[in-house]
Amino acid sequence: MVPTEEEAAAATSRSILELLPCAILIDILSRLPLKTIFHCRCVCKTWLHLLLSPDFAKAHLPRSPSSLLLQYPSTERKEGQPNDLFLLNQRATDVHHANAKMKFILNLNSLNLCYYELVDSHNSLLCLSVIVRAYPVYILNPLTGDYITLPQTQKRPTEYRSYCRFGFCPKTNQYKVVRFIPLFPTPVTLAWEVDIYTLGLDTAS
Amino acid sequence: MSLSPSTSKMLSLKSSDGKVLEVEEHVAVLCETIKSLVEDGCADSPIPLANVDGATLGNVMEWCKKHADQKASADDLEDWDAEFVERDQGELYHLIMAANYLNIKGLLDLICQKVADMIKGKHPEKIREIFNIENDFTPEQQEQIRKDNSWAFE
Repeated sequence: MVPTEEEAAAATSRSILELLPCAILIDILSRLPLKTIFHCRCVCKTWLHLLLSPDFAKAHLPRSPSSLLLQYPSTERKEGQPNDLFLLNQRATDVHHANAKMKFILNLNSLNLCYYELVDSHNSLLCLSVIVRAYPVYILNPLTGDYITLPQTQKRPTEYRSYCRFGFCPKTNQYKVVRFIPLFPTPVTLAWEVDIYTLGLDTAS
Repeated sequence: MSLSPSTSKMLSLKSSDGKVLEVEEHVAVLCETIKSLVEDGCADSPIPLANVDGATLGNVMEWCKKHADQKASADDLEDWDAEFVERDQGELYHLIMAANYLNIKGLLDLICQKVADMIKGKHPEKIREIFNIENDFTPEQQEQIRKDNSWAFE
């Protein structure tokens, strides 16, 4: 295929980034720092669509720098104060620099997730819940704003001191949440109900 | 497979606009596409490269020649590459397409990183301006998307 003069002319007036195949544009965008990726979402519809696609997530994950997720301990916080999460870029040399940390705004569809505690995170998925109650439990992708609420158990965990943990198994590509709910509200409980939730990621699809 | 310069024979490559370029085999095989042809014994006649124009092919081969040179140090290559990518967007576009077609991972990586560096740290308005991209959001969509991604604008 020889580029015609028209195509050549189009190449100069149209953006080169619009002419590139999607896979290459994804490759380019996946090299950007997190903050610029959010800026890129506001550029045009095509970019927004690409940046929310699973193909972009796959390209970006191995390139994303390791970061620390920080949250003030609940004891340091006043009643009713939002519990913001901060993402700290570990490659940043100056932590006070504007690009070194980023505040996560976890206010999604009227549900204010910043009032919940971070249980754990894996592959940029966050598990949030209420400490000591372990209910409700949310699994959130802060980059896309998608989240799920784990189903409630038959027990009434709100009355007892419950715990939950969040883990990822690279072999099966599955995430699991384990929730421990004491059967009796005694200080030393020996009998627990344990719920295991599996979030399967089918790699084939 | 290692082909030393002394035993390397010449290959002729024919661009989309009919220009023929004589290139040493050990340089040309940095293109995986050409390497496969050589290994399959299909590289005798001028190799037609229908997706690469003559000027771009010249630039690509210049890069391959530098990177096939085993005397070049890593620092030397880095400096050379930095100068090599100082081009206008049209040339960068043709280089990406050629590197993709000829399957030269190192060159594709280099140019993609260069374009990423041009975007890095810029605000949406600036990115649209640099790359001449039309803003196709309605003002309402624009406001919503800005709100959803507000943490990046603090």
